[in-house]
Amino acid sequence: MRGRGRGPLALLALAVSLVVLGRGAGGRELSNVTLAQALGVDGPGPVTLTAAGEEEDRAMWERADGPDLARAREELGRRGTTRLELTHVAQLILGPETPVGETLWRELTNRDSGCTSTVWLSQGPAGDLLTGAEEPCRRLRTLEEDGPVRAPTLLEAARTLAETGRVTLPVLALTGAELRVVGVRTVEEG
Amino acid sequence: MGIFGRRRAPGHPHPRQEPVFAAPLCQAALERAFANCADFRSRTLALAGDPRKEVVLCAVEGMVRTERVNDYVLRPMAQDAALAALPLEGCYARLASGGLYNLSVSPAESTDQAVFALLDGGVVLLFPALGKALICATATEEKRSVGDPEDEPAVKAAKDSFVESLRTNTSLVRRRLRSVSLRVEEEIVGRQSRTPVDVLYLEGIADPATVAEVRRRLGAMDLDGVLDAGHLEQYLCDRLDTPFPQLLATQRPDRLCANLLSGRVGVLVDGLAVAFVLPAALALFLTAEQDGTDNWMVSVGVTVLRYAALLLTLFLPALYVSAVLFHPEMIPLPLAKSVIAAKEDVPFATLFEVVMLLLAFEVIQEAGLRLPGNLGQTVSILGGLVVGSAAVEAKIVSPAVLIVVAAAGVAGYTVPSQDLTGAVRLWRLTLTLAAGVAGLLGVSLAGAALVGHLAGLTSFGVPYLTPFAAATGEQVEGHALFRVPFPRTKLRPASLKSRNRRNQR
Repeated sequence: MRGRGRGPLALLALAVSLVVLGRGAGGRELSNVTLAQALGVDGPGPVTLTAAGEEEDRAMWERADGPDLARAREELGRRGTTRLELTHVAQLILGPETPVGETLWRELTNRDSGCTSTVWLSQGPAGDLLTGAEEPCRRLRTLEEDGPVRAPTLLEAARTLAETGRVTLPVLALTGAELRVVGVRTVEEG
Repeated sequence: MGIFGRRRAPGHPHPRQEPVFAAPLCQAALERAFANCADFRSRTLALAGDPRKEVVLCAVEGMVRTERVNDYVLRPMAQDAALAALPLEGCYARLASGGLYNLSVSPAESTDQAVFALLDGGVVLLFPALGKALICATATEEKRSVGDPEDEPAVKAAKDSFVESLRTNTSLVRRRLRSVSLRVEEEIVGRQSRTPVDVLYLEGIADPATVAEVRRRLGAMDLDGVLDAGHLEQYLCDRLDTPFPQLLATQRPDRLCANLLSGRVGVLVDGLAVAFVLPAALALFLTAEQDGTDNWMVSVGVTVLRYAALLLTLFLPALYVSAVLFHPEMIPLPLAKSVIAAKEDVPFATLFEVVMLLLAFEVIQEAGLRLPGNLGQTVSILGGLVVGSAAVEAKIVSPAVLIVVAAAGVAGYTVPSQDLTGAVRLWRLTLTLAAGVAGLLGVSLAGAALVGHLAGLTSFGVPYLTPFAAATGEQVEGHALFRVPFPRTKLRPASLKSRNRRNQR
């Protein structure tokens, strides 16, 4: 009878041990990770995602396909020698065939996406822009801060589209190996 | 089953013999009571040199001051010419009514009374022929001299602190509060230790219900001895299932006096160099004596900083674990890159790293506290700096984790009360583990549990979160966070239910 009532204490001790040893925790370690900073979305389905980032100050990119945006995201996370995290994507580039409203909404409701990432359109496939440009992340940051046209954030773009049925987005194109803003395009819902 | 194991059914009562010594008061009874006590002394004397007038002097060596016994008791008994002419009954009456030079001389009615008087440092004069006895106060007052309050230093404030002598401590209070309203009630606690415990309060200012409750709780204490602060705290506090202190312990007489003036009650224990203040809500543990001496605006700034540091020390490791494990999107890109770079090659999980370092911090702190002065400092420096930086260089822990744990630890030192710091350290670990389980959700739930726990605590009827969550609907003066200047603090705190709330014109 002396052992009675010690079950909860034993369970608590086990839970603490598991947590401390990292077995019970549901989080993801921020080690062996590459942070994607720009994401290109092409196609209504299948969807091709191209993520660009910097690894030890070198530009890198990964590409993955999936029947829809969510599957393509999952596939992208499995690519490469390091885990690709999409939590710090600051620029979202939508290809010419990409359904803007649906993509904006899906990105907005995605747990890993930030709603402050800026939204751009691309003249050709968005993936080609990211893979063909020299230092695309740095260039996109420069365009975001000092570009001729201000790109709306994901939240602003989605809200404008929902409220007015249309949104104006800057269009990017590749000139040689350099990304440039070549104009703006108004996208209408539907 | 409670947290202290299964509740036991009331068993046999703690055996208590009343009276302790039932035999009639005589030399043999005292010698039996002090059998095998090398420090017990008895000496047969002849009053004024007359062998028919026999008196037995009993004392416990070390408890009496020898000079007092010689000068105030033995000398008059040997030299008072009037004693030679009086019969023994007359000698007894003369000695009881002023023939001895002691401050206090009283007749002993029982063996118990005589025994406990001897243990208190008195001398017992037995008159075998009369069957009577006198008790003379001759206790030694050897004690540590009043020194600086090392645990609660303050600039622009008094430099004296309580010592282990109860009477010295009450005198330190009386010298500051020269008021006839200051009451010092005494209770003897502990069957074996028989420790005098004094309850101090200002009549007409302190809540009589609080004073009565302190009296009741002290009276209900039936234990073998009161030897350290924990003994008293755990019997006086409202609840034991909490790490949070419910009595404020202070070394500073001025702090005790300030609290008596605000309507609180003080408790002093013989042998302890601290005073206990009650009721004590959370805000009281976050005030320091320095607050009263600083400019009120500076004081407000420092208090706000202290509260911020309290939140930081509680939540910083938990927020770090949450952000890194569950919500990396919360971390700005440059910082995230630094964290990733720092984490590279570290073999341990983030939660393990943080918990390990938190525990290491506690170990170093304990080691520093237990070792004497300079050695303790050396261990702290060696442990903190050398081992810390070596662990980072060896890639055992990441620098980010080291910075987080060190910042949380240092922020904890801004809390003036060590008792509160202990509770905060326990909860910091709990919050960190909750963060490891469920990220910010876990932190929020554990934080809510903490607030719920605090909201459920009281100290002598005063809600622990007063005045933040329970102002009892009355105007709060002398606010906890934003203190107003003293000339505008005209009322004592409403929560203390003072009979006279106004403290100035």
